[in-house]
Amino acid sequence: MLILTCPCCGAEADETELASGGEAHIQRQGPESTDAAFEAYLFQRKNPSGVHFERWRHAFGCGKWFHAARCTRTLEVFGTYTAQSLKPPKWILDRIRKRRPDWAGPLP
Amino acid sequence: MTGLEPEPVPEGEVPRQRFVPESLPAPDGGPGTKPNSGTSVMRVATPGMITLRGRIRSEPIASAVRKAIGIDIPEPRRILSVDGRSLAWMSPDELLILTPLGGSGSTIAALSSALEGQYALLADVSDARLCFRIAGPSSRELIAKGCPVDLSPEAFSPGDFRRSRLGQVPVALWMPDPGQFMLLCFRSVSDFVEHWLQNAAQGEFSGYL
Repeated sequence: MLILTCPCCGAEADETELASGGEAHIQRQGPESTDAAFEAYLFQRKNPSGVHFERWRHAFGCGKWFHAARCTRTLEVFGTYTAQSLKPPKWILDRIRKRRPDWAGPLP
Repeated sequence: MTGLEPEPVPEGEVPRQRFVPESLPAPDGGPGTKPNSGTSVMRVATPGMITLRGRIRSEPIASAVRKAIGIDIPEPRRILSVDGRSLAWMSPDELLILTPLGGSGSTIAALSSALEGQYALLADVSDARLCFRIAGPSSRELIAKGCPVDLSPEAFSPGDFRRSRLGQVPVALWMPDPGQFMLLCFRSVSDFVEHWLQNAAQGEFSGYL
């Protein structure tokens, strides 16, 4: 069972109270982008076995989106942070490196 | 024949597990269940309800609400009640104002004049939701059967307000006083919620975690 603390309302939300929004920090590619960049933006998603950054929505609670950093292998949750961030904040990265010293950093 | 006997299994096949609803009690309690111990589920007269959306933590809106209904903006996931009116924190930009029956019109009038010139939305949503009262010694256990919330007295007590789900539908919970819950749900699913709660009230109780 996955339990994430919603950073918008502070509730400890069970997985069944949340709606998954897939990978976080995807940058939109507009009409000026190359075909390859647009294809990657639309279709190509990371699927790591380990540390992953995801979007979640507290669907049955306050209704807000947020980001979560967790391990897909162990379900360990490193933290949740605001959806208004373009990349993982430093305190999340520090916390992950403390727990996973051999982690290579976010996938490119 | 009760219709619950297992089907004959052909030679060499693994018997299929079949759901036998033995945990559902007979209406009179039935064997193997604890008595209801006086926990009751009641549909209560729907209070007047008003949604206020906007920057609810900002000083202009907070002071306008204080002036109009005399209640401070509650902390996240809290509810404040003064003189029969309550103010519940719904989300970072949404409040629910509960008024006595039929009192939403005058409250909306007072709020909209206090919020004059502010960027905020007021809507009378009295008909959107219904209210249930769950009272009795096992009310925490009853709600915990379908609600993924820590309902132990240390984690949830009067003053707390939690939006979550019951079964598969969204609800909001709070405790007007110890030993009694109020549960808000959308009107369209209120029959489902009522049957769900009544069914849960007949069964056994196993804890609130």
